[in-house]
Amino acid sequence: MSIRDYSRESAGQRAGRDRKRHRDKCREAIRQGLARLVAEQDIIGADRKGKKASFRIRAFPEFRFTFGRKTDAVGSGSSQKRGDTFRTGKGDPRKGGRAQAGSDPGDDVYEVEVTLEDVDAFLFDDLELPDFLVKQLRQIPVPDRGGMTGITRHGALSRLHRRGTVRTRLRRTQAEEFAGGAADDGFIDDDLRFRRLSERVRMASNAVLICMMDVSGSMDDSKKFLARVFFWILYRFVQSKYEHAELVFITHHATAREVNEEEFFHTMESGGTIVSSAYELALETIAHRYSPDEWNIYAFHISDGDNWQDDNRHVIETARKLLECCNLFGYGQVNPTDSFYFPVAPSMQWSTVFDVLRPLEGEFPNIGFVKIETKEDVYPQFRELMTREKVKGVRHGAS
Amino acid sequence: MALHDWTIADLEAWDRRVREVVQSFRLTPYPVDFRIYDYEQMLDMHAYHMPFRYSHWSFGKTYDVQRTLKHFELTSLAYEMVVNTNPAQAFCWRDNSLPLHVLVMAHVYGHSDFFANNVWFRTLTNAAGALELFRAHADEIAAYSEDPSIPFDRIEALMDAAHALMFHRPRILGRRRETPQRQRARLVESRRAEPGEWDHLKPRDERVPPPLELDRVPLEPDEDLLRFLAEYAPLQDWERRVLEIVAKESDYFMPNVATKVMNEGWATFWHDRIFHALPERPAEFDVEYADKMSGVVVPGGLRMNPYHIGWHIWTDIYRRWEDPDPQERHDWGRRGGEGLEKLFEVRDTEDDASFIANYLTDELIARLKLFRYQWAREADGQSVYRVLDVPDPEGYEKIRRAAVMQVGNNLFPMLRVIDANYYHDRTLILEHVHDGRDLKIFEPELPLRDVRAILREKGELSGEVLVSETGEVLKHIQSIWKNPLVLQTRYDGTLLALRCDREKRITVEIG
Repeated sequence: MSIRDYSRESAGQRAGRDRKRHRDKCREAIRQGLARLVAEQDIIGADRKGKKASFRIRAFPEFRFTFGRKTDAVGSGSSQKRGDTFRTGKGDPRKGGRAQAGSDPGDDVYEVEVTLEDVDAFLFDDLELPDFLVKQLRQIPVPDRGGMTGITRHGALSRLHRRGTVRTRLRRTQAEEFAGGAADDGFIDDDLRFRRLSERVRMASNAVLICMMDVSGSMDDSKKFLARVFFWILYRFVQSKYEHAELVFITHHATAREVNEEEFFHTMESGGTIVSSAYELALETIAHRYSPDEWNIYAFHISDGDNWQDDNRHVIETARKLLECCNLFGYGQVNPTDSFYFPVAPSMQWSTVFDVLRPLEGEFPNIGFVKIETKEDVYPQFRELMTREKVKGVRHGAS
Repeated sequence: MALHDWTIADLEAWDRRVREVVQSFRLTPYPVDFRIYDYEQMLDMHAYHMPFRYSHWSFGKTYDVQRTLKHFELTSLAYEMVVNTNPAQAFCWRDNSLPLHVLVMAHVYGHSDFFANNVWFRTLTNAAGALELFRAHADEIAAYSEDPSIPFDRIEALMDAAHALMFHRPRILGRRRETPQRQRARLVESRRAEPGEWDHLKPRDERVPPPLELDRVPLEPDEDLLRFLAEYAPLQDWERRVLEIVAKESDYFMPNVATKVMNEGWATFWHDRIFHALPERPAEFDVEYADKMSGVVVPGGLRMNPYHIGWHIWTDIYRRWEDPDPQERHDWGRRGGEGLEKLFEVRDTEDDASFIANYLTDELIARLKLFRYQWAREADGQSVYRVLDVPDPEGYEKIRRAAVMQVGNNLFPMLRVIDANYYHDRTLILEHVHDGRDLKIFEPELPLRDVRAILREKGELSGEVLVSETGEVLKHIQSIWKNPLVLQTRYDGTLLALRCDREKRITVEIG
């Protein structure tokens, strides 16, 4: 009857409202079960287990009367024999790959397995290292074991060239037989041949990401969760841009200490907050282990903004030193909307770490700030951090 | 790609050609309004199913889940969607290539022809008034949401409860709901009937029917849970209306559920024939067509792909009546050349259950390599699927029966109200009519003896083993009914009852 193009008209608004309501319901559920969520998902550690990351799409459950699993189903398209069994895989195929029931009562969790490379491609494809970082990207010579370039008579047993060895022995024994000498007496040292590997020097880029986080009492689970998501994205970004990336975790309250990943995300300590202690430890770590001549250094600190006021001056001093040796020094303030602790209100006569560090922005191009309130903020904020500087760089170039 | 550079004028030209072919095949679809939608608009239609729909978070959930799955390319966006209205509205994705648009148009006419002719759609839905109906419902619910005397939470909670029951519609599609007066009159009349000629041969208890309890609620078991609750639960008027609206919309969609395989198969069968009958189509159209068509009719693996199964059944019916082999001519007296008539007859009168029961032949089961399987737990605790039947003389009938149990109304457990103890404590008795398939009752799904052992030890289920989502649905019903309720079912062959009391505590009674 008629054909009309509606696609340039604004999409219906009805979905917006219902999507928001659904997300709010999920958020409420997550807030209640947050500790478990953080404990379950090793976001940063995901790549060590076969480079797979589970992406969870949280969906609020709708309850219905359903049949149990022991019901007949019909499949098609492959030749089977009666009694054949096949693995069920992760989810029930009849439910579109839904996670196995029982893992998470009350939560409809769709587990989507994607390789981390996919995720990186999705996240970072259109995102380049900001100009100010590219300029400083340092190439570091590393010895590189390239491919096999030939056969040699000496070497480590692990590089034994079996075929070459056998061939040499055959040649030798046949020559001996031909000369009427002794019979075959097995391998002798002279037979052994080894692979020769090229030893080239390659320019590689190394990066270290120093994660600093406030673990004082006011950093509750929801704040730590946001911090963790941010660090994960930053780490994946650094890892995708550099060939070798390392992680350093520093937690602090009144004093700072280096911890492992597990502790970093799961410890909760009480006490005051002295931010500069973390910066000092970071500087120390850099001095001892990650010389700026060899490493691209990314330092990022996340807290809820709280600091002992007398420490502020020291914070600026140490931050300045960090900025001098780091590609990027960033500070993130998390104020989740669903946190039990209220963020420091601007009306209070109390300056947050953000206020303290902010003046440095004019002085150093490589300082960055993010403010995160919800999980959804994390990635846009991260993008902004990476693209904002780029724009600025372009503008500088033009002037 | 040049195939993506199309204009509305191109589509109109192809639409004319498609319509000519449609007419030449004697299909009689409703007229179709095609609407070109972008990606987000398509997602929106998929979540809501209708251009107008009331607001509920579950639609937003479908939207977001689909969007995310699409993002990781785990599902593909449907190329089109048609709603059963007159004139039909079809929504086509803007990013389709021109040949794909042509395929989609042919497909849409197939669906619309099915809507216009199949008995369930013709008699149970009013296509001409559908848009207004859904719009009126949307407006009514919106009005309740804006009413300051009705808290939003209560509307949402009631909606959630109604949605939990929305697929439990009466088994017999289209049976008119009787008023209690009519029902009473019918029952009384049935007792007045003269004894039948052969009644003396029946067993005694059938000859003398049980006494009628004419003040009983319900008089006969009631499968329409939503309407029963709307009629008998202590509710305010707006609450009754919400339940009726959900019931009414669900009734509108039930023919879709009941004919999914037929409908998709029909549209696929016809878009294939129409496309190949189109004159003057460029060669590159056929390449694109073949690519898309092969994706549509791919075997479903562990599931039944309705496009695949449906398309094959329709093709087979056509062949058997249009061009029967000598054996069929002899056995069934088929003359040949009756393919179209037979197709139209089946289109007009069947639904998925009868379609599969009658036309999924043994030969077809073998050709499509259908097999029956079941989930099982191996001795080592490993979860597996075990193949129970394969296409051979022993397996055909079982596979066919299993397939019938996976379509239409059979997808949902059958529940009915058998007693409401209306003049006593109003404990609602729900009966699950067991058809060989246990309800999912425990989480995880343990055998009954394990549940028994836990109950003996602890006296209740807690921690590791819980009552599954079935318990949550009971709580939903309780929130409407306000009084206790009991669900009777069988589990592992044993009678089992779940009770939900006024405090929404669920208890399990076995045996």
